[in-house]
Amino acid sequence: MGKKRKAEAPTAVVKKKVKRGRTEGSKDKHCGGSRGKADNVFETLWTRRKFDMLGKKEKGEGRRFGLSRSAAVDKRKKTLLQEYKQRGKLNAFLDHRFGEQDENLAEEYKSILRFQKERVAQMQRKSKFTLQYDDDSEATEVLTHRGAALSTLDDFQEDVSLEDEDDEAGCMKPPTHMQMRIHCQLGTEFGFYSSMQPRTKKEIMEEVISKSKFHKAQKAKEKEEDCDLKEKLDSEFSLLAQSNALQSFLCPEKINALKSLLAKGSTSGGGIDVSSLKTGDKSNEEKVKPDDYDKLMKEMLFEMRGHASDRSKSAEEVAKEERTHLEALEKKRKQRMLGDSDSDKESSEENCDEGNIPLQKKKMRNISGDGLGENFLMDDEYEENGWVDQVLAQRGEGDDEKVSDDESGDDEDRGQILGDANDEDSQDKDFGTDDGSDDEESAGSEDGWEQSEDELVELNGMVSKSMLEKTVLETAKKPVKLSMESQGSKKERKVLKRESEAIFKEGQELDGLPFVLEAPQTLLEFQKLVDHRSVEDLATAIQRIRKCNAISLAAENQRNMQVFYNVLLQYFACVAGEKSLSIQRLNVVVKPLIELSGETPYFAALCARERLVHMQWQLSEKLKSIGQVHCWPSSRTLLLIRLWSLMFPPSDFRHAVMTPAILLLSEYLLRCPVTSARDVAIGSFICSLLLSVMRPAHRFCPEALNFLHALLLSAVPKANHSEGAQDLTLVRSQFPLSTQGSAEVELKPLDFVALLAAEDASPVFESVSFRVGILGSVLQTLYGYAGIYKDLMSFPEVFSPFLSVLETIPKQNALPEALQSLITHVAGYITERVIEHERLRQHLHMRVSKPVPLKGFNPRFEENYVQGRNYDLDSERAEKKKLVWQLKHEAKGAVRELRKDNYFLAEEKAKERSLAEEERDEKYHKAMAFLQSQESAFKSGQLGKGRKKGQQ
Amino acid sequence: MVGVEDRNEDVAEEEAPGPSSVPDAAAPAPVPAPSAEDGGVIFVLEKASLEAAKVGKNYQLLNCDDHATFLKRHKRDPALYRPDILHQALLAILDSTLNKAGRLKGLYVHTEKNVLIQINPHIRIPRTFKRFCGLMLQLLQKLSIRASNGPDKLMRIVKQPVTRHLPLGARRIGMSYSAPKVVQLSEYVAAAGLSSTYVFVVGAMAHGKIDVDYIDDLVAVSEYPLSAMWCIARICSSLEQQWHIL
Repeated sequence: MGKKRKAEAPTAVVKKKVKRGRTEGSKDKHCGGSRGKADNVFETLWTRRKFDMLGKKEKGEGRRFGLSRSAAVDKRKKTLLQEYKQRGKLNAFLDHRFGEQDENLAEEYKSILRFQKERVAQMQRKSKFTLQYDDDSEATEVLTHRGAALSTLDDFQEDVSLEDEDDEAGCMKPPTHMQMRIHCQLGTEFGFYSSMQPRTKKEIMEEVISKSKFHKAQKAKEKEEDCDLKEKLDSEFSLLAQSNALQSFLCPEKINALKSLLAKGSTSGGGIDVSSLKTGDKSNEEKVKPDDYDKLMKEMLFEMRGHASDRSKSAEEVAKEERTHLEALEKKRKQRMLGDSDSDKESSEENCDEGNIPLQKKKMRNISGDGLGENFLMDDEYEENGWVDQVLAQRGEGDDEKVSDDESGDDEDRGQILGDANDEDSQDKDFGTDDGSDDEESAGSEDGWEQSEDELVELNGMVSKSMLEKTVLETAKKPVKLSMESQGSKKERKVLKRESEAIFKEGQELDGLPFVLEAPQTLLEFQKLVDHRSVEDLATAIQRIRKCNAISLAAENQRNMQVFYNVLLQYFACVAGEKSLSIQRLNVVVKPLIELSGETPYFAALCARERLVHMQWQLSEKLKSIGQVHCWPSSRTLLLIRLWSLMFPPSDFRHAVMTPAILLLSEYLLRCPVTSARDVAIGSFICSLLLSVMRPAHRFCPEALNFLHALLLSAVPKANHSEGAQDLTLVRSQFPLSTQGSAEVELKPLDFVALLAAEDASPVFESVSFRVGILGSVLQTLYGYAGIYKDLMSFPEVFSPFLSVLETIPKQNALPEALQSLITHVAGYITERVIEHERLRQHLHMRVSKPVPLKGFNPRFEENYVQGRNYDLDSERAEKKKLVWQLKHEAKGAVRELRKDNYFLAEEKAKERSLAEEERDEKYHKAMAFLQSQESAFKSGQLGKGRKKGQQ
Repeated sequence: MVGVEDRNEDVAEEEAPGPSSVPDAAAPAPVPAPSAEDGGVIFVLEKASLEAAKVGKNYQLLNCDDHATFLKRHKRDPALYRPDILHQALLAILDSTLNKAGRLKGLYVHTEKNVLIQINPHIRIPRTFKRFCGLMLQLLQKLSIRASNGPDKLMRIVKQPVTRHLPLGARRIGMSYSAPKVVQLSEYVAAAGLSSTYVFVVGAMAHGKIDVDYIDDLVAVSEYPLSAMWCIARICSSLEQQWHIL
């Protein structure tokens, strides 16, 4: 009950509010007036809007809570109070009379209104025309067709009578005036109506004329449109032709033609054409010749748009080409050798060659990197004169030159240990026949050839890198390599060289090198082929063998080349093991060996490993044997390891060859006792070799450093050794390097090759210059190691022992100027690094826990928050929550309403009660007053018998 | 007001550099003497422009960039609606090492529309301005913001005035370019002692100056007008220096 009222209450308030808003501005006064009550002060109270929000539209201006309170009381008076009053009653009288509910109306006015209403109802007499909605009204309201009810007609009734149709036609026959006019207008076009009605002749003729006129006009219009289009296209084309876009597609003569065409067109072309076209369509179509434009267009149509270029050759094709070329050369050589060269045959060949030359040249241009340019040039040379003749002629004049060349370039040549990049240069220099261009081309071709195989590329990178390093090393070593070559030895060498040249000449004369060479299967075969030949021939022989047996040519060549690789390696070992070391031969062999190992990497590694195992075994055997055995490696071992260091990447963390090689070198340094000066030289060489191997990866090698330290210590006289260093030197170096009174000796780089070749007891080792040179090389190597390890954390610990030695050496010995400066330089470098490292070191300090920063919390909020929307992800839960809230809300409202009802009722009851009490009081007082007056009258004896009795 | 005046006198005594230790020792300490660890700082950002409005169908936080036409239509000056200043200032305060070290004891924002917001120092303010607007809008409508990973209320609207939330005995320092006194803040702060709690009142508005009655001292930290963020940065750095926060 309360709920119902509550639902009603606000609407009433709103209505009142609206009314108020519309009528008057002053709110409080009006409200009082409208209710017809005495002003209630509380009704003037309004809610205040606390927070103005921009853009928010408020309904009305606020809530008048005082007013709504009194409205609620009023409402209760009307509803609850009435019910309360009726609570004991069984029925009620409801007054439905007009105006009875309106309290404002006066009784008189009410009766007037009642009367008025009745009269109006009578006057209207609506009942006259109102349809009578009775039961039988359905029958009257039926849709009909020609008087018959639709329901009686069947939709699918087919037997419709002809008469009916006639009737329909008759219905259609007389068209209205409007229809006639419309049809007349349409009739000319559609002939729709004409078929219906016969027309006069005149009408027909008119129609025909109008039709022909219409067609003519249409034709003229079409023609005009065509002309317009043509003009437009012309202008567009001229624009296009003037722009660069079209010109870029054309060859120059075409452009000129186009331009001339354009010029003509601009002066006369377009206008005339258009006019001629306009004059008549059948005018001069057959007369018009194909004009410039059409010609141009046709030419352009058949013009070639692009050319496919030749594809670049694959590696196999290149190899095959080389082989066939060599074979052809061999054939020619044989012919020349036999001397039965037919002139016509040659000439025919020449012709053929000439025919080929342009083609070949073209090819050369095309393939550039891939081709072997030098061979093509050689072709030309052959045609000029015979190869042998030329060589012989060359030699005649070049002999003396060569010797002088050798002398001049001696130091460098000797200086390189296995340098092949430089070697090539020197080779070229010696040969002297090739032009510069030739040289470049050959280099280019070789590069290209190498690039064709991926592995080779890698290897090449490595090799070139290591070569670079080597050259750097060599430049660094320059002063070390004290030239042992005195003038006398140089002379000796010259003599030797001449002798060998004589032999070479003989060999050359005996038989030239064949062009097609099968890969030799044994060392003997190879030696037979090569031994008596010059270094250059060795190089060409190897090159030819490799070209003729290129792996890409045939499958079995893989095996052949492996065998050949082994042979070559054996040859290298042989040459390296010879007593008189021919470094040039070695150098020649190195490059093909490196390249071949790139082709057969697995096999190369296998060979190297086997040899390494053997070397190690040899070393351990030597060390085991009692007595003075020379443990240090031979020149062959050293050179092989050097070769491998070029072949295989030394920077790998673990490599099948390099890792054992490094270990072996370290073992040599660690375990072999130094007994002679030669050992010192070999040891220092191993140190520098290790340095070059360690350099790329900056790997630490304590053995080399120890050895260097020992060598340096041995330069200090025995008496001055510090205790710590004693044990090392005692074990290791029994050979003193201390050099007294060598101040006047020049510091020259040592010639290692000569040292290797020299006997143990040779006077070279006794000389002061050797000692100085060794010291110099040791210092250089030490400098190199210091450079590598400069970033090592333990640099100060590793290198500070050297410092003290380096300090004492110049004090104890009289050294040459250059060596002294070198010592100070190295010592300075090391101290600098040590200081730097020590400066960067941090003290040990206690581990301090870092302060814990304040924990941060993320605020929980929505991007687009809308008040009242539920942001719970679980919609069911959200719905439930909402319902719960609603229930609570409603319950609260109901409780509030009930409470207010109770208050109201209690008030009413109190009022009633007080009223009743008042009444009762009044009655009581009345009664009491009556009784009292009675009693007083009785007592005073004024009443009835008493008075009489009293009187009696 | 009497209390405030008293404090003013105290401040005057403290400011005198020479005998500062004497009155400190002599003054009866109502609160137990705080150690160096207790020193803290409270920031009050005055005159922040945080106003929500119904733009179109949605409520939005008004800013001069997005709502220039809207504001003109309602005859407001768009230049005054700068919630980005508050955003920057809050980021500067809450990201400072001072806060990381736990020295930020309180943070209040008093808006132009007279709403006082209490902000928990643990809050991570959204980095982007758009998200910040969303957060502030929700705060103005819901009156509080909770943490997504904790039960605490990170922001809430509290009763005015701000002085009822400030600790007793804290020094209240207003920052203004127009202040007659230009101070080297590190020295100024050092003079107050290591363990005291400071209340810095900084304006977060585009134009004008703070006019509040509860500050003890109005100082300028630079001879140039500073942005709120820079002012706060100066305060933070000088306090970090004083408390040796690295």
